[in-house]
Amino acid sequence: MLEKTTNNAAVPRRMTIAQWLFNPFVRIAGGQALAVGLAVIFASALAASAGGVHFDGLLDFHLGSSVPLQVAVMEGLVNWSVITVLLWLVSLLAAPRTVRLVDIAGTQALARWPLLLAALACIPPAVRQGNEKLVAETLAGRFAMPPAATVVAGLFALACVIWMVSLMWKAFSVSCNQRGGRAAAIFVAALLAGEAATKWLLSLVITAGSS
Amino acid sequence: MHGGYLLPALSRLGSEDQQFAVAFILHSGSLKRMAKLYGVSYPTVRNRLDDLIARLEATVEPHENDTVGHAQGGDTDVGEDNE
Repeated sequence: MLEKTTNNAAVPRRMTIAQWLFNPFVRIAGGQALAVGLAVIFASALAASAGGVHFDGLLDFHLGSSVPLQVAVMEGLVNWSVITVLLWLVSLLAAPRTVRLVDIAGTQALARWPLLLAALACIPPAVRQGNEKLVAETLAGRFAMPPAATVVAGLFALACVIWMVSLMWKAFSVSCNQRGGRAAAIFVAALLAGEAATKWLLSLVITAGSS
Repeated sequence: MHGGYLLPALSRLGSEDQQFAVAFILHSGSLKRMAKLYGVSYPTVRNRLDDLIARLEATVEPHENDTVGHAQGGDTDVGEDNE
């Protein structure tokens, strides 16, 4: 009796597809989200390596010619760990009650799953060849219309990055109980700091790795 | 019977908040068990509790603070889950 009443009063047992797509953290957080999220980061790295995609910054997605698997894995892990640490530090200052690091880490890892779809969209040879041709023409100083496959993949990747940012916001909101304009401003500041920090860190690591 | 008096703080909450408080007590204050009961994640149920605490803090009158203060000064910390 009590269980039925309280469940009905709080949240619906069934989540819509939209809720699963845009705010799964109401149901999944903590260690479960961390395990799934880390698997997603590694799967994204595999797809990025196969599709020649760089995640060379917190919000970056670039088509390249060749991406070693270890570089793709490192980019994924650096991007995730930097935003986790930043939001954790922010939560210590802003969150009124206790916040668990595992919730921030897990939900932020899971929030990156749209990048897996974006990287998968770049695996077809038509996309890579189209991009390589476009880059070659641009470097030669000629204007070239991008092939349709590259345009479609690029637009899809852009949508995925926007989707990821939306998920990252929801993840922050749920894991740190933050809402409203002040929370949004804090989140945007953390994103900007994270973008700068990941760019700097990845350039350091890549420079160290190539020397 | 007539009289000017305040209802207990919990009675002044909405029915959903009261049901949540009852369920929380019945589950020994375990947020993990509450999350399982509600079918939601741990931070979601913790946020629900934080919101309830905020509403209670806003509801409690100044002269009731002594009682609340004594309760909060005890060994039980409702914000923690020791399981």
